[in-house]
Amino acid sequence: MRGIVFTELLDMVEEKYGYEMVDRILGKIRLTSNGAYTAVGTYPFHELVSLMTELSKETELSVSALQKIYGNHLFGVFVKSYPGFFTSDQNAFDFLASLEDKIHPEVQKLYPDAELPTFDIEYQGDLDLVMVYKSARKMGAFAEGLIHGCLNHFGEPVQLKVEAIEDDGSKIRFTISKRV
Amino acid sequence: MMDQKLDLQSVKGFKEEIELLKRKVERERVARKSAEALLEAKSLELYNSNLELRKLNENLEKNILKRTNTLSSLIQSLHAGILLEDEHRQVMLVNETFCEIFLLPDRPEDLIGSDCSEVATQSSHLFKNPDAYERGIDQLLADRKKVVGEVLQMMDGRVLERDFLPIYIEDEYVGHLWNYRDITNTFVTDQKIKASEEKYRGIIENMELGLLEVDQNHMIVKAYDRFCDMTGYTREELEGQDANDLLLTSNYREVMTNQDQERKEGRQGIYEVELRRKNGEMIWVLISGAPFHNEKGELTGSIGIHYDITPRKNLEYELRQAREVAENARKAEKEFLANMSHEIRNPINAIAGLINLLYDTRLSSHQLDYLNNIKYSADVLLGLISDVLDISKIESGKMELHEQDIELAESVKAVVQTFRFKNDKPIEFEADIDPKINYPVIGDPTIVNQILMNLIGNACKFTENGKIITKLELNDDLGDSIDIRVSVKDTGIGIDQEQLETIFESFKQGNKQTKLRYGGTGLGLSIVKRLVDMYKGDIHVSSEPGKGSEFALNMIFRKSFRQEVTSPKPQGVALIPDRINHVLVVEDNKINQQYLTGLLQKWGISYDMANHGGEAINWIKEKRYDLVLMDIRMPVMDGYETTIRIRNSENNPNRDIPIIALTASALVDEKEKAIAAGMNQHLSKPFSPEQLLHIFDLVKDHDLDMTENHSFQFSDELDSEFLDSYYMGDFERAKLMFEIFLGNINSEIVQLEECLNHQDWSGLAELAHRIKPNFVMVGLSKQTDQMLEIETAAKASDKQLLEKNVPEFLKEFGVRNQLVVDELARISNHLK
Repeated sequence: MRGIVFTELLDMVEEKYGYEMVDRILGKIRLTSNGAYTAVGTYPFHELVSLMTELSKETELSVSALQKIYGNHLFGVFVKSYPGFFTSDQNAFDFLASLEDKIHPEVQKLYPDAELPTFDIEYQGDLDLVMVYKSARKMGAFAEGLIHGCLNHFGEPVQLKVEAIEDDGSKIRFTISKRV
Repeated sequence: MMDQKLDLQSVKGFKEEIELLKRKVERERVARKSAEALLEAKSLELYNSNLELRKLNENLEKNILKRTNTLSSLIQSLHAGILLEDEHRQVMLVNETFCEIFLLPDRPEDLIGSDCSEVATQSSHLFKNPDAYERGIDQLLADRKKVVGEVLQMMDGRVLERDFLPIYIEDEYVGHLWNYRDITNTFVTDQKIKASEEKYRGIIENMELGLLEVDQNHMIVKAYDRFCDMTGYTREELEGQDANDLLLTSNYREVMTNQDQERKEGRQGIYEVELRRKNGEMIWVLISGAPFHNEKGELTGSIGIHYDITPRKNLEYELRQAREVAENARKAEKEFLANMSHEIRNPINAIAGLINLLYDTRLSSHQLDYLNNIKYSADVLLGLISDVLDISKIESGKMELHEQDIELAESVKAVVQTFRFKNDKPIEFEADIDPKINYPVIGDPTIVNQILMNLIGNACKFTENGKIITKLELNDDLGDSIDIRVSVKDTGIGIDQEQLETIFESFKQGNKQTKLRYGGTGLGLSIVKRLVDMYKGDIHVSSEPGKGSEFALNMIFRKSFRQEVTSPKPQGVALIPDRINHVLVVEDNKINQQYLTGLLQKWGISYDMANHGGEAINWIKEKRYDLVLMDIRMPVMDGYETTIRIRNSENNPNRDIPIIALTASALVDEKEKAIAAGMNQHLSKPFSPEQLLHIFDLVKDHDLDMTENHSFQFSDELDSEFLDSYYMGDFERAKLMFEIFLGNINSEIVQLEECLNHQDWSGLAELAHRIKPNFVMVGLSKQTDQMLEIETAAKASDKQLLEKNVPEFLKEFGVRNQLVVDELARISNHLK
């Protein structure tokens, strides 16, 4: 898993709960990296799971709720860090629909070892977009958070319907509608 | 003092906070280190990648350079001049050939990068048309379109072919390529071929030969100018038209169809047809047609070369007309000769006859002298007339041969003897006879005598004194025949060399002096030459002026199977036949009547006189005669008709009487007609008393024959019934008729075939009419019938029928003719 996910998570925790929380979590779990994450590195996925689980205990928020919050937060970070991917004439549908074809291939070029989820577009109309998330990491909530972040960024009033195709969260259908 | 106030709890809190910060710093330091390590590793990776890329780039550049060099050297070695310019007209590539073509002193590599915008102006002086050259380049650069194969002629005679190839990369114009090739040789050759074609077309057109190309259905594919001129049509009016429909009249369709067939079989042909011009005028053309093949060698039609022969045809027509006129004139001449023989011979005959009678009267010596002179003049006149008639007879091919057994030695001796008596100059006559020639040969005694008389007479005429030696020698014994030489040598005035060359031509005499001094027609030697020719002999002359001449001839005679010497026929008053006592003379000319009656009285023969055929018929009915002397040309009824009436009249005692024709004409025709009419003998006027007696003699023989030869039977293969009734036992007459028939029929058959071949129907009708009666007289009745059919068909110009009838006749006659030959042999054998 890319280092930015870890560094941004710890930054968000530090921002919301103070560095003590970060120190506490890192002190409680044994991590091969010792939490010394850097955005340019790559770290085992299970460390994220451990961090999320420990944070959930400390904050008494569910892991999925945490994932959603973090996803939403992380999208904002992406917008700031990678402005090249965002242009003024874009809208949320275009951006989401281009994930699979344009953004992920570029990421793959930069980080050949990155393991990315897939976002298949089932339907795209003027008012509706149906996409299916698929990942062995089962981070559906995280994805939902990212989508929220995206929709917030583009500032369009939409409804998001989440529909688990697999109960374990490995496959989820997101239906985004501009109909109010 | 604040420090002192710090409580333990605070210290502890600070300590914990310091620990927390230490941990944070440591964690961040570790993260920084790990990030640095990662970045360094990434840098190294990038550096290496960069290195790889640079190597790859270098390799690529090398490859490109290599390929560029290969391409460049290829272009350099090309035989064409190549100039590659970029879009700014800068030279990217140029080869040596280009520099050579444009006479540039630079090396090709030195030109790379140089500006070409002025090149057109700078090089335009090399071209024949500089303006056009420059404008052309401007146009090409403006259009930026591919143009190939433009031909440019240069001042120095070279010819270039140019291609302009604009170069586009993804629709963007990046430059262009010029390709110049020197095609001088090919161009010149092409020009030569074109010039040659032009030349021959020009020649043919100038030769006034009209060319026309047609396809297999005679549709005009191409018409050339001269042909258009000939026919008066324009090319557009001709092309695409059916040549036969447009130009031919129906008469020549068949000719053309035949020719078309020939072309289809790949043969050429030359033929003449009449063409109809646009204005309706007809022209004659000679066409040389040949089959016409396309590039694949397939027959596509034919090409005809037409030559206007109208003027030639007109000339031919005029010549034909002229020939007809000339032929008519010749015919008139012949008729004139025949008339002359009648008109002149008759009075001479009378004169000669009366002279003979005068000799038998009592004459004083003066009178005898005058009479001798009259006789001499009459003889000379007769000789002249005879010469003229002889030559015309020979020339018209009507001189007939009467062959019989003759003793050459005796003939020579007799003629020489005659001259000895007649001669009154101091000349010695010698006859030198080869003793080996001591048997009879077959020949015409009249001709032999005439040759000898003329030759010796000629020698006499030009010899004043000396010798005339007549020699008869044996050249060669050929078994069945002998080759003899007769020569007459004199000691006369001789003949000039130049006169020798023309001596045997008609009417050529030595010279004017000779003519004045010696007289004559100048026909004597010409007659001899022609008579010798009739015997397929030859005659030569050698002479020395002042010393004498020698005429020598070689002739071949068949030997007679009767190897004994015949005795000369007795002649004279003593031998008047006993049986001839009473004669009927049918003659309108008073002088001739007088001559004949004078002779008959002298010989003691009684006679009756009829002035024409009508009177004769009356006499015949009343009295019985032993002989009739019959003139041919008479008023009221001519000799032929009279004879036919005598022969056919039922109740007359003279039905089988011997009739002797007295013809004034020397032509064979009249003799034939006389025999055909039923006369027995023929005597050409003027005649001597001896000749008349000889005829009497023959008639007497004939009479005897009539009684002796009754046993002979005509062959059943011939129409014997007709032959019996027609000849009534007169086999001499039958023999004569058969001989005449066989003597003429071959040439008549040839004429018949010619008429058919030339489709000369009027000629054929005339011929058939003329020869029609001849067949039945030799017992070929069917052939006479056939000839009548042919005559009728020919008069109707019934080509189809004639093409069937004539060959049928010829085929059948070929077989029947032999019967006539056999029959003649039988008759002859019987008469012996």
